[in-house]
Amino acid sequence: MLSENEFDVVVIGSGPAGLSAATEAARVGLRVAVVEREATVGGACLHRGTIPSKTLREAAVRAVFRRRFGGDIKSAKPIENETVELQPLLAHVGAVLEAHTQRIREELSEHHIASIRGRASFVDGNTLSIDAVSGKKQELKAGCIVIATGSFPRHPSGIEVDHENVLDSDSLLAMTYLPSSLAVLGGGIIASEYASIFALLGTQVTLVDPSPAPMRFLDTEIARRFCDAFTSIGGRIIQGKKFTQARWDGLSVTRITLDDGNVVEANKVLVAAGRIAGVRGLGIEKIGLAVNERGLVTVDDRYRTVVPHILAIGDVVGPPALASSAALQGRIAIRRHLGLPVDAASTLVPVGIYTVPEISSVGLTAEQATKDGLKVSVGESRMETSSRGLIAEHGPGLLRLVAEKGSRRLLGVHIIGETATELVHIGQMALIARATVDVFIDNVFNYPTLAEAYRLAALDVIAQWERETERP
Amino acid sequence: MLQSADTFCLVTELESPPDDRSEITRRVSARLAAGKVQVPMLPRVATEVMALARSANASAAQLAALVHKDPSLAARLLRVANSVAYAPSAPIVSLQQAITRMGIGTLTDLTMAASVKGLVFLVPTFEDHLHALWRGSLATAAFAKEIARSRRANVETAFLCGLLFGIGRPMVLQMAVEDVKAKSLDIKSVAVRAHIMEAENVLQIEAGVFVAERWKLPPAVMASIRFHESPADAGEQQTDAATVGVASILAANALATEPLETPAAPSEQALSILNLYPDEIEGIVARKASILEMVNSMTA
Repeated sequence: MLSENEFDVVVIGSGPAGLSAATEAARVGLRVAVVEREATVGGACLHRGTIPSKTLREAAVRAVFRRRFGGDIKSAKPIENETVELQPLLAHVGAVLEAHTQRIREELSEHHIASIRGRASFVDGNTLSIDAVSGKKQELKAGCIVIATGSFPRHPSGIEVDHENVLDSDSLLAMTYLPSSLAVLGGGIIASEYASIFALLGTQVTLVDPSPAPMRFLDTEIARRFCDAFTSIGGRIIQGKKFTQARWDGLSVTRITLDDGNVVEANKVLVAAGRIAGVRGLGIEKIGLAVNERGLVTVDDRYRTVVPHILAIGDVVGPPALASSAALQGRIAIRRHLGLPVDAASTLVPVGIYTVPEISSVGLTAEQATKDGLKVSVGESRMETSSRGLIAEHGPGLLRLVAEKGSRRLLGVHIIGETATELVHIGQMALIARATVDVFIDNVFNYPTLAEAYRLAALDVIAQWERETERP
Repeated sequence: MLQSADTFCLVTELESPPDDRSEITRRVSARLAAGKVQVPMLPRVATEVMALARSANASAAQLAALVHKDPSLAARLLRVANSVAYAPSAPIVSLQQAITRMGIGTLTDLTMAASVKGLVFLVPTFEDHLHALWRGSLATAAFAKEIARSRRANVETAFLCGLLFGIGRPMVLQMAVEDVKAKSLDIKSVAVRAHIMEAENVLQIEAGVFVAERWKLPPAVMASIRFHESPADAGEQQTDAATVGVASILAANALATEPLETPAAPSEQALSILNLYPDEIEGIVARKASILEMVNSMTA
């Protein structure tokens, strides 16, 4: 029998990955503890990242809609000639966080998972020392330890983040008012999301992206459409230029020096140049672990580190670093550790990006499929031409289906447009079922709905194949 | 069962704590309760500077023009800009130059600080005590800023909360001194001064809330005044109140004229709300030298 401080599994971190691992282990009857260094459970996803930024996005879109209506969000013009305070837009976030936190507490309680607040560090491979805020210490022993400590914003050299004029994604939403101008350094998901949200709110946003295109993992056409949408609401993109320095002028602007010598000026700067695995202070070196050259913890396909009973999941192991995939990793890691079966299809993870407008994708892009030696066609449907799109005046949107020639099998779905992050799940289910594109024509969807875009895109790709067959 | 009138009075008397406060404290308390207090308005220049500083198009020239409206504020800005904290390579001779050197953030902090000081920190015969209070407020504001920075919270709000959390103290002092004068008491008497200090300690929160309401200060400041010693009671503003509670203790330790054998420790409740671990507190305390430099430059 285990003593009070002994557990089968101790999970460090209570974000989506950690919670999923803990509940999976508890479900099969193991004695589990979760250690969280913050005051409340939920991790950065809940308190500093996903939930607050999505709440801001919703509030921004609603604010624009309300102020224009008369008005609509299809032209997605920024709010003009109005002072917008940031905090009222985030007023709802407290209630959202409280509801989420309460749900997590209930989940922990239902599964009899011990919740321990403090900072964990390895004593040895089976022992963790927990330091409380008060300075008190205790030790926990476990047969399996799961590192799910998430990540924190990376600050590139030359860019001093003072959380006052130069902010990161942890401090950005503590601003009480909207800056008139904002330079966003980075071209990933976080950078693109905040850039488009603040542009919609009327801030002059300059996105400085060191890579040739933002969010390069996306379908090329979808990424291009995002750039168009962003510039149409007043955003500016500087592509392929590295930022070397950011200096507050001591008065009102920060000057960002680019590697071509040009300077960008903005009232506030958001540094969104990636995230680093949150392993600082864990003492992983004591158990023979180290971060790799990318600053991440290396794991195998079972999420085992080089120490087999120590698992690592979520942001600490790197991309895709999404809340959804982190939760899946937690479940898979525990089931594989315990030798339980895992459904292979469930490894298909959609990507949801809460830019304005939303972007979402699942499966292969045409480029990836071609690289894999597949012959593919892409069917398109403009969402604003669907009946529901016209009724709702959601504005421009595009749905792209990637399908294999010959087998007609669906390989990927890529969407930009309002509700894209919801719509993508129809495609995901079709992919899991290994369906052909005909599934969208042979089956009946509600009418009018945005899901009609699937049918139109399927018709488009089939028409392409028919034209190719008709050609001599 | 109904209580008879006599029984009811007896119960009430037994439940009320004995009022062992001095006459001065009671009279000042009565004035506060009756609202017979004249709270000076914030000078227009302070609100204008803060509004302009927030605007996108604020320029040093515009700000300088505003500050020129208040000669004492202008003089203070020049003095601070020329102080060791900003280490100018050549003397700063213009306001525009001073603003450029200090930055808009410092300008607004200083404007607010100078305005508040000018309004309520003028109580004859208590100058030294007021000076110490003033230094305490500035140091608390600076430590609050560092706590907010380390927690990724808003540093501007934290500064304002720290600066104003003790605003009730000079107000009570002023009222107590007025009371002493009205009653023709000897203000130099040790007993009278002790009673004045008692009034300050007992009524400072009540008076602070009174000022905050009149000045329509934000909820975070109000909560910092009321709950900095019991932040768990501050509802949604508990992190603001806890920030100021911890900052005020760090400030008191930092301003101690002689090394403290056992420096006061922030409350576990406040540290728990802020989730500040011992090494993080040490990191904030390590900024003591630069904070004292700022306090000295602002109070020179």
